[in-house]
Amino acid sequence: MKKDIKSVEELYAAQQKEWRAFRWFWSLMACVLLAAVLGVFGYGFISERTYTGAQLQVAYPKFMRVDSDTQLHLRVQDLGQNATVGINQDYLNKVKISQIVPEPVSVALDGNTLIYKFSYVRNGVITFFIDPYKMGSQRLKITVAGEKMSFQQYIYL
Amino acid sequence: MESLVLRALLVYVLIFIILRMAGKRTLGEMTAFDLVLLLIISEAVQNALLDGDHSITGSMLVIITLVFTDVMVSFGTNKSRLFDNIVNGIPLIILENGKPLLDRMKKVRLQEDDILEAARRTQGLESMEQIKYAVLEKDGSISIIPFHLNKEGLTPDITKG
Repeated sequence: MKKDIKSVEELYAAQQKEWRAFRWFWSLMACVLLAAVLGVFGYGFISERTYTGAQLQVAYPKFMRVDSDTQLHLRVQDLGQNATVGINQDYLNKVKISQIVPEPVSVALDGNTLIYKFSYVRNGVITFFIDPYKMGSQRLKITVAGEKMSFQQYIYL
Repeated sequence: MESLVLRALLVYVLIFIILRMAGKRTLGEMTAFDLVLLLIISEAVQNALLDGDHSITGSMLVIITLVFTDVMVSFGTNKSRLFDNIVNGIPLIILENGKPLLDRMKKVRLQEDDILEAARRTQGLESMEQIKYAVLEKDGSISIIPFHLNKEGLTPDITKG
């Protein structure tokens, strides 16, 4: 088969398809970036959720990323001495709690609940520094002064 | 941590401004030192871009941000001449009719040797007299336009006059 410059022109239809694919992909990239800015992949308006209960306010990330540190903030009212915060133990299957501020005086395990005891809590914020290490969805169950709440979270790879 | 997308966008703009202000030579005529400089910059930028985020999602978001910004900038430069001039710079004649324009060459940090090297490499020319124009292009490369040769051979027209 004889090959010349005209054979290149025969591929023009394929080139047009490629250009269409490029434009489609650019649009997809724009959508992904918009979603990212809004927080669909964590750290943004959509991801940052707040739950307000009777005695506390919980600020938590709906979406997290593996190996990307984030925080869980519990804004509590007057819990007095020996205040306790319970977190379901299976939460630690995908997340590591690297630090808690203020530091609890003790940690105990009661069934599937980790109980963090604080010496004195009044009108302040307890911060859990968390480091997700496994992909997938999980449920965070928090118990503070008898008040139970549960949140669904998702960790991206 | 704030949005990785905004962080990547900010780093892109800052690095662009820094490299643009460094002049064309940094990008076009890369010396060994320039290469080392770029490698160090890339290492420093990596920390600024990811800031402890080791997730694949985070890396992909940074890459998509940089590529998408690049595509948008290329659209912008294609639509607007002014934007193109700002982003990519403008070509500059640095030699005319065999005579190097020394003031311009000094401004863009080029030597006659750089022009001769480009002339040898791209056109196989031996001396300045054989060059009609040398142009420092937007990308930092040097384009050589030789004199048309006469029937006798290699002597350019300028030497006959």
